Amino acid sequence: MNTFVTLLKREYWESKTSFLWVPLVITGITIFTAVLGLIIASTGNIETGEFGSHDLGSLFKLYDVSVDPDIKAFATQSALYSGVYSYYLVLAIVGFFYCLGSLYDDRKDKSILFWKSMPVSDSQTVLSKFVSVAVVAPFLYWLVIIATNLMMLVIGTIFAWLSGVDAWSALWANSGFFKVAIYQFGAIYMAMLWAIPFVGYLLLISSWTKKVPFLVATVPPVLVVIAEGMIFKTANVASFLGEKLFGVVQALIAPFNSLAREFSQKRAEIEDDLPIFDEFEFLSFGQQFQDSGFWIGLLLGAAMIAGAIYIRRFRDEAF
Amino acid sequence: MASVISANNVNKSYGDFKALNDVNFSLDKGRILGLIGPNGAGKTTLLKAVLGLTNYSGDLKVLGLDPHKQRDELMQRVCFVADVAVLPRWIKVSQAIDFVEGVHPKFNRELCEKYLAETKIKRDSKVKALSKGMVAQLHLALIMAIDADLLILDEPTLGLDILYRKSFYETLLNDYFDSERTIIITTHQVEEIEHILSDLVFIQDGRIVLDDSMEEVGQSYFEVMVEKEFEDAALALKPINVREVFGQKVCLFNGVERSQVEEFGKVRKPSVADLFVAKMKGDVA
Repeated sequence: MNTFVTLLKREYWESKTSFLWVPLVITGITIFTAVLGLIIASTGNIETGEFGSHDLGSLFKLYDVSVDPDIKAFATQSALYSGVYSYYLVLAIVGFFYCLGSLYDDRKDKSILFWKSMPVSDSQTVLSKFVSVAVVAPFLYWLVIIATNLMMLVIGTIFAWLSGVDAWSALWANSGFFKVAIYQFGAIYMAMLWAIPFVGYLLLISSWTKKVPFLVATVPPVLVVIAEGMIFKTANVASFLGEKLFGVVQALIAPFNSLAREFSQKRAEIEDDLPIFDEFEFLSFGQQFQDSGFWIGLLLGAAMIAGAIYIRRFRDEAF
Repeated sequence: MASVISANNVNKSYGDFKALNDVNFSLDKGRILGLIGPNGAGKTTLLKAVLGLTNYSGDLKVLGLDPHKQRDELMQRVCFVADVAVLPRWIKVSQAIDFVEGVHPKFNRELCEKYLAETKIKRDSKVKALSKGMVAQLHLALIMAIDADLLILDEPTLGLDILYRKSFYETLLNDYFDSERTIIITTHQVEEIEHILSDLVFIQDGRIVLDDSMEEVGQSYFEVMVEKEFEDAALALKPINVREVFGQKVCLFNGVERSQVEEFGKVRKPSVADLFVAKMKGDVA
């Protein structure tokens, strides 16, 4: 166990920039933009169709006193929740390159000989890389996301104080902070589960290729899709890949979907004429777990990870 | 179980090229073996086979284990420096120490710190900021702090200056080595390790051309500074190598009695380097 923890630490040391500093930089940019936006918006009046021209503080006050709590809840929660999209996109890019390099870079610089001089099995090595990208990195991103949520609320609170708005009723009371955090947690890991076939594929390529893993990983699938289209006039490969990618998107959107459903149900109680808003095409987590494509993806991912371990272990010239 | 390594008819080919050709040798516990051969002779391939890093045909046992199939178990007891400067460039010195401590149950942190204290390596430097020699020092400090049954050093001192090389081999012999441990060293600087070796293996074109203990070498090989008048007699005994030093012929004999050659001139034990040159030339001719 100690060995595995050490291996995870090793991965973290090597990829600290992608796993921690990158999301923190996004947070920095987000916070900076938010503060700058507030300052710029506060300098003049804003034209609104219904209520005339007001400064931002007054509009905030108006929002606080006139808007129903469930609308506030939906507005605040979906705003906080939406952070998950950009962070996951960045995590996907970072994870892509992490996987490609993870079993290739040390062969290229021959440091594999140092790692292999330690009593660490190749399964442990490969699994430590998998756990780093599929468990540790998402968790760090999630921590940064909820810290960002908190900071955005704090900025909102400071702005509320400056504008004489009751921050509790305008923001915190309906922020669903913990609910949103849990939704984001669920979304990130569900999306990661959908991404496992891609992770497995990239680890396999990284373990196998002798050069330029990026091209080796990307060119053949593109060629296969094109060839299939030209020869058989079908797009099975493309639709298979698309289905898995769509699964990732679906996993990220599903929690928003349930926020929207809760909201529409509450509105429907108040305003009878409003239809219940659950006509989305997106599957809930429960439905996603019943999707056969999801499980096929997991199995394929596991098989490719096993392949990566096998190559790492038995390839004659591992370096 | 006295035999640390036993190899029987070990073969390894890369396509048509036979990197190891019927290699047979065995090594007992508590020995220091020098594995000497020209570039491309199969030294590294042999070590890779011993370390389970490559497959081969034939029978090879290291510490009673099959290195290819039981590599994970083997690595609990074997340590190696494959080539210097293979430490990852991104790692910090302190992280490298933490890593080895975390994964190796037989790592002794104090010992590693003691070795490092003799160098100028800072704990918070990254490997890429260290000089080549410092990387080698760090690597050796990490590996020497592991209580391994078998230590394999492939060109361990490449890029190190003579002062450090000397002190490294002294430490290796005095502090590290004991009767429970076995060491295999390959190096091009044979003369520096000659005095610490107990066994000698020469390898050429994938074949073992010499496999003797140093005592046996001392008893069966003689180098004679032949006096002018005995030149013909000396050459008649078919020395395996003849070289000239200041106009005098120096003959290297094998398989003759010491008494037979004593009259020709001054007899001495050949240096490993001279023996190596003779062996390599002899097999070519």
